[in-house]
Amino acid sequence: MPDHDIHVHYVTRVEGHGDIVCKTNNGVVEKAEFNVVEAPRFFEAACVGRAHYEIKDIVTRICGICACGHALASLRASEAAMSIEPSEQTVDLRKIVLHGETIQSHFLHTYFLAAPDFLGVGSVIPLASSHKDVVVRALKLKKLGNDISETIVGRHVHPITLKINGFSKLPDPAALKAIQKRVIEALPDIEATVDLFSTIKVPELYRETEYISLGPTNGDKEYPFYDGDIISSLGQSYRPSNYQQVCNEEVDPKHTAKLCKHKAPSYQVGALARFNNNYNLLRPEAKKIAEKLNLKAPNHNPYNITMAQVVEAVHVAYDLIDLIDKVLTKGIKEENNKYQPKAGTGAGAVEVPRGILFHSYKYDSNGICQWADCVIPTTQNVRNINEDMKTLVPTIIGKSQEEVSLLLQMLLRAYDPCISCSTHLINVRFE
Amino acid sequence: MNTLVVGLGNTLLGDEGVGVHIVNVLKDQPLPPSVVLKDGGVSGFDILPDILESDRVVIIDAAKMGLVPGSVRSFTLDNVQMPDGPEFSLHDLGLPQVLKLGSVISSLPPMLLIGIEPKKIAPGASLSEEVTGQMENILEYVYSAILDFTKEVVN
Repeated sequence: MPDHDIHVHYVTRVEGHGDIVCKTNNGVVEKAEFNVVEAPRFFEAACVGRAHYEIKDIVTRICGICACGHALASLRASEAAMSIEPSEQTVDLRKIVLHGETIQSHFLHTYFLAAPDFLGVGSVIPLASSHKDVVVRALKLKKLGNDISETIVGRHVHPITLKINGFSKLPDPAALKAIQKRVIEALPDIEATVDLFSTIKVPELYRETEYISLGPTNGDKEYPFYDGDIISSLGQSYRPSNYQQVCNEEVDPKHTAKLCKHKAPSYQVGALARFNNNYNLLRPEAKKIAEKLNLKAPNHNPYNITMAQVVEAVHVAYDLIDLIDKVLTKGIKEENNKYQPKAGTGAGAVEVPRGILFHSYKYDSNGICQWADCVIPTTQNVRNINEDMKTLVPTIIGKSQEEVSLLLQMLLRAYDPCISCSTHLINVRFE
Repeated sequence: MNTLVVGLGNTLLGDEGVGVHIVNVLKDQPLPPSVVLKDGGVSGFDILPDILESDRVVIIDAAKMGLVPGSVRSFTLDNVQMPDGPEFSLHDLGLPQVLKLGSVISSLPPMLLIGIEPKKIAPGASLSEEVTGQMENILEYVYSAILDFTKEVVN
């Protein structure tokens, strides 16, 4: 049996910098782990001392992919802290922009980051040579997601018009109608995506873990992305304000990201966690696709996160069409979105493409931020990725070093990690 | 015929964002009818569909050329050698990789690259004094380069 000594420094096709280390000795796994080595970025500290109306514009810069998700978690936290209830129109428009981002991000991951592994090429550039139609379709779908964002919030990333309690500029109904038409026209491309992924067989790995996501509040029938309670597959449920009881962040000197743990030794967030926890709330069109992809809830193979993203993309596309219909039928109206800043602490929980995201702030009576906390999906997944790697390596130990390395990288990439977002400052204390 | 004029860069990293600053200034200028302006930001990848759908493209970006900060030069794809970048990664995807991907998918439209020599690439939303001091010249250069490239007149 070959022994392995693998150190993948800066894994490619993920956002940010992370290393994989795997060492075996006489067929025994000594080490199989994923380390986050990205430099910390100090966003939480940057929020302290800034005014309530500036916070969203600061934290949206945490990520260039799920910038709207960060903005929405931030607005929800600020609104919770100041007891502000945004209007139904604001909530519906926010849901549309979040769906646009999910489309953009899921197609980016499934096509450009994950598909090259499944189709046996090193990156998207050779993929463009061997499967030109696939790359052209992927670019088109990703652009659709970006254009949804641009239509609603004024820029394809880093939203401008999203504000506490409303919008600084409402979208033009005609532009919204045009976007809806493009979503409808994109349905055949989405169907072709499903066809492509239905031919792909993901690597095998079975490990039951705890799945954490938003879940419906009070019997709500919507597959939750924008609001809901925090639920665990092990049965507990929390209001977003109690998010710290879920993630229990702690510092590990090996990582620049913190580590999280709930009831099980580790937990998973993201598309598969949502799929497992909320399968019954998926639209029928998406359930049909899950069947076609042979994906049943609960599914305990993390390589299937990519497949769950395909299912969610279908759900989101159909939901977008209906949501835009709802907003246009009711008519977009200027609303009074004034509010009075006040002292308080609040948390927001939003499902962004890579999983549940928490933001929380404390404000003083002038609306100046005194404390900020952002718990990013990848941070929550780090421990689970490590547990998966420990389970995976003994099952593939007989393979060549290259194959083991590839399977470990594919596992990491399945989580669609956003490592740049996940880094935190580690406090160093000298004694 | 349409001409895409795109400014690239990170406006939070000083002169790195000069391309975006220039496109923002051009929004208030009379431009040839075919010109469509775009703030390309840092997501180079996302501008590829726009590049492939355009008849002509002008890209404005900070470029380390070893010249005096604030200097401006233009190039066509024939007279620049694109470096081989790192393997595709979202984190580091630069213009050369975007253009390489574009050329594999389709033939790229005629392009003009305009580079501005930066002084300060460091956190901060403002341009360096050196680049700001040359801004009038840079804008004049960019403006004439666009007119020469499109061979159009401004109404």
